[in-house]
Amino acid sequence: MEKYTKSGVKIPEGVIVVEALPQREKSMLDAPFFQEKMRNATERLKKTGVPKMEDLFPKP
Amino acid sequence: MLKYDKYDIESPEPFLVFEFKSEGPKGVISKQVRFEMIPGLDNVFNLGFGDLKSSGEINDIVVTDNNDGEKVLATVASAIFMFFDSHPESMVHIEGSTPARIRLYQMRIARHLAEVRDEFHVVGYTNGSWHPFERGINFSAFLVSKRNN
Repeated sequence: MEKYTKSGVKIPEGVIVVEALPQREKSMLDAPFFQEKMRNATERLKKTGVPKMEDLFPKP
Repeated sequence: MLKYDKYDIESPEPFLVFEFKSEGPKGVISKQVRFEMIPGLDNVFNLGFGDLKSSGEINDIVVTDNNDGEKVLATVASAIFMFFDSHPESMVHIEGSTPARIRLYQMRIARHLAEVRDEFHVVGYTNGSWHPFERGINFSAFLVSKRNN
């Protein structure tokens, strides 16, 4: 039987909705490569613009 | 998606951070998947993925080699599905922390391309622009959005 959150989002099998995750001293934002990936993504997408999927995948 | 073996994964609403435990020869290793909105770009999120250390730090470069790579990737995929179910208008930027990891993501997308295309649009970044994902092209990053069928 399919399960949904209170806001109506379908919960896939294996996903457990919790009130909160354990508090941690550090987050992904402090991970070695995460900020670099954020910078790379920002630079790429500001240079190219966010691609329009409807242009790249036109409907037949 | 449901047919692949994967770990149970925990997340609170609004489904931006997910955690699960990898179990294998190296022991039990906690992992986190995080979707972080890219400043200045509405609805574009960067995907972060790494090991949660007992010290509280997250290492997104380490290769754990806990002999469960397929199961871990299937679990990350389930987090992506859940993210898109709750943020259907969003786009996710995926970049591997190492060239090997980028190749791994590319191979996994290619292997499951028909299933991926049923649900998502995937474009890859190469030579300064974005192109629909194709096998045999080396991309350095990917953007994924949910199809509006």
